[in-house]
Amino acid sequence: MELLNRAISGTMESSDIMVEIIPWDKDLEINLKSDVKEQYGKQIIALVKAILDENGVKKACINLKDKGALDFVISARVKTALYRAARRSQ
Amino acid sequence: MSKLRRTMLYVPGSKPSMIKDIYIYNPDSIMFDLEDSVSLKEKDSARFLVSEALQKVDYRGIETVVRINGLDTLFGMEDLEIIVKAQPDVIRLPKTETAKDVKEVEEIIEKLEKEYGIEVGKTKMMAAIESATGVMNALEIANASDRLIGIAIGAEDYVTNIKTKRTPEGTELLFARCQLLNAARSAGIAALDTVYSDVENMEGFRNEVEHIKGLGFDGKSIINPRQIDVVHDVFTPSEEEYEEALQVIEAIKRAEESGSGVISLNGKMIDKPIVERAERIIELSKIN
Repeated sequence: MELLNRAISGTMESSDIMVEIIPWDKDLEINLKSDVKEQYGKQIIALVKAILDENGVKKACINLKDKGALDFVISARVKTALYRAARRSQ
Repeated sequence: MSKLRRTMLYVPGSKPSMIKDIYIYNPDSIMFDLEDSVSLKEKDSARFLVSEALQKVDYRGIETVVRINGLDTLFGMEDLEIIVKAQPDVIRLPKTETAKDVKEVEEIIEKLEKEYGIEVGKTKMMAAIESATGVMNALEIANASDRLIGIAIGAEDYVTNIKTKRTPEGTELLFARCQLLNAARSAGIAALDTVYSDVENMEGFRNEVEHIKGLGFDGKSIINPRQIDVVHDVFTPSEEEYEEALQVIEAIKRAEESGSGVISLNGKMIDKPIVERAERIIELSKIN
């Protein structure tokens, strides 16, 4: 998947996560802010990485602000951000 | 007995906090909405959210329904492409006007099922009728596809279309409700009533539920979990109804044992429709 634009998905509401994808030409960087980072941080980042891998995304900066999102919400928000980042018109 | 569809609880497809545990309220069906409750800017995110929820959340066997955007919008086709893959039980079509509307969506669903390796015919459909044209075509719509499990009336758009507004008595909806109900019964599918938007007015809501149950509807779309108990209560046979039904079945048994051709109970003749009604009351009582 080719990333064309910076894109955001999600909200700062409880049970949600805000995902920002910035295309760049450096290696993948994932930054996570979460109240449950100590307990679930590794799991959240692994899940996000897996979705990026599936979509062949290797060069991007991903900023995550988690508000206690379950796995299905994290997957959906990352997929939405990728979908938006890959579209020509925003 | 056919599946119970007394309550079909709407949940906006864009709200993770509502989608994640909506099953705790135990409606008969959950309807994830991608249409009117989702803003134009969030159509894509709602689609992904509902798709992921269908695949990863255990909805405890509760029927899952997804209301897609119409094929005449920018979103309908992509909704189908993503949602069919996630395998909800039912796809709900909005604003259905003709049998052709149903057949068009059916063709796309079938193509997608083949593409994704899903058993053809697994994805069921229901059609919402929300205009005068749709109401007049209710019978052809109800018979348009073997996938249809029911038709529903969407009252807000309908009353606007016929140039009136909703009233507590529902006189303006009587024709449409009766037309839909008879079309559904003729086609052997479920008839579902529209939402009642004033969630604070529980008395008005109960009156409407009693009204549509009296007309013969199977159930109602609802917008708030608070409304579930009222619908289930109204649709649960009373103790008197249950006792009477048991007496009817007993009378039938006695008549069969004695070889009597004519069956009566308390001086009233018991015939086939009365027995069918009694059997349904007993089944409903057991479920509740």
